[in-house]
Amino acid sequence: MVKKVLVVDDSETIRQQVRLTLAAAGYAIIEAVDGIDGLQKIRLNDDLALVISDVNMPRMDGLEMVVELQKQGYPVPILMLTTEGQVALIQRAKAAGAKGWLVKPFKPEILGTAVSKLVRLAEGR
Amino acid sequence: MAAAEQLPDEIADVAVEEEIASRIQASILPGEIDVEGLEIAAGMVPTEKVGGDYYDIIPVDDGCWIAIGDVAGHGLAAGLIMLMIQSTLQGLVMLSPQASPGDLICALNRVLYENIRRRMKRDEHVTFCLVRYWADGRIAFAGAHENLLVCRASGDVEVLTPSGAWLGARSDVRKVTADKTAQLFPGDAMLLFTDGVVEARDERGEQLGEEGLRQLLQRVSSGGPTAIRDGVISAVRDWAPALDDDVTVVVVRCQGIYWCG
Repeated sequence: MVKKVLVVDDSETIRQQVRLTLAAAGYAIIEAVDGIDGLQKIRLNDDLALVISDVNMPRMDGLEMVVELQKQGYPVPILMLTTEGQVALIQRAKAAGAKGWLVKPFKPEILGTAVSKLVRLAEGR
Repeated sequence: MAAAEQLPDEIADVAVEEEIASRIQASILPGEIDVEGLEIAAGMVPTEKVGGDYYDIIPVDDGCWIAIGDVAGHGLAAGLIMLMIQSTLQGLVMLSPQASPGDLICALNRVLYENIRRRMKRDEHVTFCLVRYWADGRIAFAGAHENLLVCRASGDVEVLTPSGAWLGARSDVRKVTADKTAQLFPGDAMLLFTDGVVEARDERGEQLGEEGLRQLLQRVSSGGPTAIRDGVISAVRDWAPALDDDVTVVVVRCQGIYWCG
């Protein structure tokens, strides 16, 4: 079965880069433009293998979205993909339940490896 | 016997030895290595006489091992000792990928001591540092070698000093070998280097020094591992009109971390 990955990012360019990278690896990609849109897409797709989310976005940022998902008990693993590298933010994401943190600009092979690792880990739960 | 007093056959023998050692040194380097979440660039500029530098990167399931060292000695013996280090370490990591750096260093030391002192009847020793990197960004390190420099994403450079003893000089280094730990975050770059970098001398005989290297790292750190490696090697070449020791640089940049728990 094709695995679905939700990409939450307000940058069309980043969503396209992620889409191209992961589609080539056989994933089906769903897109959202901010945290609120991301939450809606997660509610509509209960079979997501992974969520990849930016941090800085309008309306609802990625960390707020992760906190909200944790509150609501969604088990989907989350990988943060951001230009941010502040230790405090990374620790907040970890405490909120994110499973990984990757910095932009990213190398496609590093994103591919991160996604397959986190999907594999989630399947082994 | 001084080099100038050597007979032609002996000079030829030394040249052959150096050539063999040089091939050993080059052949055991790891080449292109992929480690989850890390960008890696490494380079070695050997001197004409093999200077004894060695480095390795060994991927394991949840990260990698990074080793760097320098055999005090030249020629074929130095080449053989490098080969011993590489093959022994590879075997130890395969057998115990979750061991601590200190444990592996102590085991490696016993092998080197036995071989160098007892079997080869020689007196070479090795400066060596071993780093364990985990996918969540943690590192543990031990050994007696140059410091590790970590350039944080903020631009600040931290100096990490490993704890240990020269390898191969005494049978047991457990008492002075201690694991230390640190955390790498996305965007942080860690630089490992050999003494040929900081002891490179300019025309006045002044060494580049660790402080010079630290400042250099801050200047070139924004460009990623390849730019850091090339920047350091280029700066050493510019600093020193002639290199009298191998120059080795290993740079890893943490691009991502994962929490598997």
